[in-house]
Amino acid sequence: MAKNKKINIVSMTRAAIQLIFFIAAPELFQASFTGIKYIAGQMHEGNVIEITSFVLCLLVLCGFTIVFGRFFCGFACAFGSFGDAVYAISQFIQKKTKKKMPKIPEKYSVHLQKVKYVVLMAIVIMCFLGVYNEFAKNSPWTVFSKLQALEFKQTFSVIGIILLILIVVGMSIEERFFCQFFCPMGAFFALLPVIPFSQPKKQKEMCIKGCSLCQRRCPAHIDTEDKKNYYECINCYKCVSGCPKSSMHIAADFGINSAVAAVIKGILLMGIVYLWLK
Amino acid sequence: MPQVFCFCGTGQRKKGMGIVMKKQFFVRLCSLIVMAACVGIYQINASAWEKKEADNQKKIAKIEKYNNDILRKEGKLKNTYKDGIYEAKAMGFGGDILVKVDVSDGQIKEIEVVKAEKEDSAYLTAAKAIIDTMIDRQNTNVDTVSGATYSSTGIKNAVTEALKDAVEES
Repeated sequence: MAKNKKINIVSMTRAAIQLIFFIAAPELFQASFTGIKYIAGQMHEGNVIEITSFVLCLLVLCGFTIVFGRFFCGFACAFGSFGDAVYAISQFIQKKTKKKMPKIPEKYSVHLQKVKYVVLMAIVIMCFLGVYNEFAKNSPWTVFSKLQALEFKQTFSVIGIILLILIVVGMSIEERFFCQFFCPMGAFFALLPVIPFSQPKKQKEMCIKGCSLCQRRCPAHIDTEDKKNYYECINCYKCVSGCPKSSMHIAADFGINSAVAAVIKGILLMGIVYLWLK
Repeated sequence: MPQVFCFCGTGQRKKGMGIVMKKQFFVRLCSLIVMAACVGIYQINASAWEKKEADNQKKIAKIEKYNNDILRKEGKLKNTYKDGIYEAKAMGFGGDILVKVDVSDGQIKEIEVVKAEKEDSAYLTAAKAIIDTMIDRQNTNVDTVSGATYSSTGIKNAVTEALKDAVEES
């Protein structure tokens, strides 16, 4: 029971931090991706790359990710938080109505996770070739941002709306559906050299034989045995908070309680955002 | 909860996981350095191109001014603009830019940005360089300012709109 209580405290803390970022800084994910598109676009035009607010946002989030891991993805991205909310509601409804929705088998998930790199590459290449503007207006992110800002009077792209609906359906059957499989920004962060010191790791000698709780709780299907896909980690702390033996830990947290560590990182990120990006 | 300190890389037992993560880290680090170097090299080249382009623009403006001065002296330059003060606005980056154009002796003497509330001051300052070019060339068919495209386009369009009433019927 004590372990479940600990899990709940961490997940409630996480939800609170996600809500704060959703209200105070919901534009970050799109701003940083616009930075990537801008750089590629400028290279297409042969123009100098100015440090616009988008480029600055990109640099700040990349710097933070290299040092702390994909904490942004797990705690501060408005779209990721939206997906978590959709999934939580879907789980709740499934529990209450005792009806189960289909699940994506784990072995497919690991392969589907590669698709987001294709999405990232396709968009960047289109920007390099100067042909992306045609497609830009159909982005589901644009639709989401307008709705989130409560701007209903704008014109919405039909394709964008359809894509967003499909994404929401996916979000309700698989945790972090969009983040894992399709997010180009997540793909970019996953390509960064996140220092291993900041990533969750096991101390195998402390593990209970045959446990695998960390692996079962991980929404990104990370193999905690060989950590080959550790860059999929969004630092959600589900493994650390759920570990019955405190074997799963983040070295950079220096033994601090998960919820406290998350709050500290959240405050740090919010401080950086307000100092440099607002 | 026991304090857990882990300085990974020490201790043979952590070898498997630690090494995989470290290898991935170094591969990514090297890739990042290569990418950053490519962007850096591009940036150096693009800056050089931009400087060359700016120098070319200055040369063109100088030559045109020289030509126009000669034509004017010979009385061969048509007074293309009606004297007067004209105001108009056009869309910049964040909102409308209002300009005032002063025409005397048939020439654009002065262009002033009266109001540009929604423009970022840094961009607006950069965009105002287009004003000198338009006065040198005595027309609005000039290149926008690189890096302040929207603001300079706004100024350019506003001046064009203002001069609509100033163009003489030929």
